[in-house]
Amino acid sequence: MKDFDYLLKLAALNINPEEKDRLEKEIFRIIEYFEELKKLDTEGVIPLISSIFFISPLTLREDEPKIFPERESILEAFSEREGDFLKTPPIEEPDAPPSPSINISPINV
Amino acid sequence: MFNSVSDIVSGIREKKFTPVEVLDFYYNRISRLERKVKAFISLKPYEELKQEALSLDKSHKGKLLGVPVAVKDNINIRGFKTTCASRILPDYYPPYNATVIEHLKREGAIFIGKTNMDEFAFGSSTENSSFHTTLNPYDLTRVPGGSSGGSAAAVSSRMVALALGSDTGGSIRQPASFCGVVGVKPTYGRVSRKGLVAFASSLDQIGPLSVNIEDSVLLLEVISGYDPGDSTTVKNQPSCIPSDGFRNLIEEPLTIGYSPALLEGGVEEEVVDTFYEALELFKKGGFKLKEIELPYLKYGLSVYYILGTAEASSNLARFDGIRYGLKHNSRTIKEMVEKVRGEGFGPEVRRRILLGTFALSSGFYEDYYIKACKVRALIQNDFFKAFQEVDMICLPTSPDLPFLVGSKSDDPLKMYKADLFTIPINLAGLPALNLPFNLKNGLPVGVQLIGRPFEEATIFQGAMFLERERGPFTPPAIEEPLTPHPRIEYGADSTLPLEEEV
Repeated sequence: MKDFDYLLKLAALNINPEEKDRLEKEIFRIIEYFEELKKLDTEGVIPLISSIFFISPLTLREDEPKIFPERESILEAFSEREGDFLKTPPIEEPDAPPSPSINISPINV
Repeated sequence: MFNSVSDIVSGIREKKFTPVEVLDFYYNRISRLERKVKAFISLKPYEELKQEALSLDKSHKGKLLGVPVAVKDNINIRGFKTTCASRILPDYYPPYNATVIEHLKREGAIFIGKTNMDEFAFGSSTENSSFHTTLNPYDLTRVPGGSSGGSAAAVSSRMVALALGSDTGGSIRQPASFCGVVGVKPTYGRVSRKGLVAFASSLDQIGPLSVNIEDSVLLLEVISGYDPGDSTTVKNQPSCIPSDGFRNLIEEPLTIGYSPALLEGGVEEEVVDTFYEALELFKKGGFKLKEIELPYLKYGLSVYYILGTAEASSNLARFDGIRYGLKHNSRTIKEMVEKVRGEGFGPEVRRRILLGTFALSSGFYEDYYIKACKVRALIQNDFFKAFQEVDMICLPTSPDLPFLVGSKSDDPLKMYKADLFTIPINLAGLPALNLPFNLKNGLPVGVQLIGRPFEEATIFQGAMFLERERGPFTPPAIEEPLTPHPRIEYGADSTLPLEEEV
């Protein structure tokens, strides 16, 4: 199903073909179960997105810069690293044809 | 055997025994029982724990001095891997302690190990763990519940005195019910989630598991409080400690709400019987009973599996193999992310990410996500209306007795229904607990008490009454004669148990 491929793309999941069929059926069966909500009249109901009970005013902490003491352990977890930089594979295939170039002309002042 | 955490702490302080002796008692049990129960993902080596116990200052005023604690493997402790029972986090050592861990350390607790769970807390049996299934100490052919099944089983088999779990839709209370222990889901905003790997941020709470109510009150008090690191935590919280023991129930009887309509269909007979036995005890003790209606609760499952998966799909976007976790060599970054996620996430995690992605996707957002948020408001309103007439609500914790390993794992919808009575409480943000009430066919059955926001003290009071009246709760009979036993072998890097060992 095209929709399901789109969903896999949105979720950034690479799934092998045998599993895909099974998963697709499961997902749509569960979504079918959700249909029971459609019959409920929720006209005028304000959606509840969280349930914080404000027994005292919500306080946000001061936005103060701090040096994180375990900096190195964060860097160590990087998939690939060059000095203190995080290294990733390129966005496009190295030998891919270059994207159509955009003509940037200097701005005339 | 220690009866309570306060026994351990006062015994150490009065020099009746040492922290090392306490540690030895529990570690001995781990050596004998962990092979059967498989509650842990990682265990700290005994020698290191012994050094910690030796270095505890006996004049320390800590409320948990020398108390061995197990922690669910989605809560960060420095020095332990956090795996979330997932292949996508094979070697993640967190760079900081969760706030709850800082609280426990300050009170002198000793962290024994990290406990097994359903991957990323998605499940009700620990069968979704990528490593192994934990088994129910009361019957080793059955599941311990989930997702905090390892924590519940570790406390149930007395391998630790206390444990921490997390509860998004019942993940503390349902395994507590299956393993015959106390488990508490605090009010949303009571306990900091900083350092907890997020599942559904509008629902997640960390909470205690213990063998009795007193110990859970103590642990909850220690972990409660405002934290600048979690903006949902609330300042000036009312205490969770029942103030003056028992209220005078004759002059000031508490009213318990219950809803017979919710017990119709899909609830096992033993669960219904247990529920009415508990109500009967309340009645005899002078509590008032009142029938209430909670008409929207039955839609909780649909609402939860839309909102919970939507939030999870967003929270789990951070697992991309770039900054930490599973690595994959690829030609492009997109290919790398898709491969890492495809290989690293187990079947249930993929299912939920896809469901959540669907609910948030353009064209379906209004019909699913927003609709579910509206029904969530109606569910919360059901509770608020009921609380105008009653002080707490009593429900079963789980519709099922502990089920056989493998009996539900091939049908996701069937598994989701295990959370029928626990989910609505998370949706409404309320506090609730499981009290183990009795054994049916040798299996534990619990009852659930639900309170008003920040009125944990009231449900603790009700639960302490039931606990006293029902008499001592029989622990699991997995005892073995104490024989010299090789210490359990955990892999060289101190984590995964070696499955092939007998």
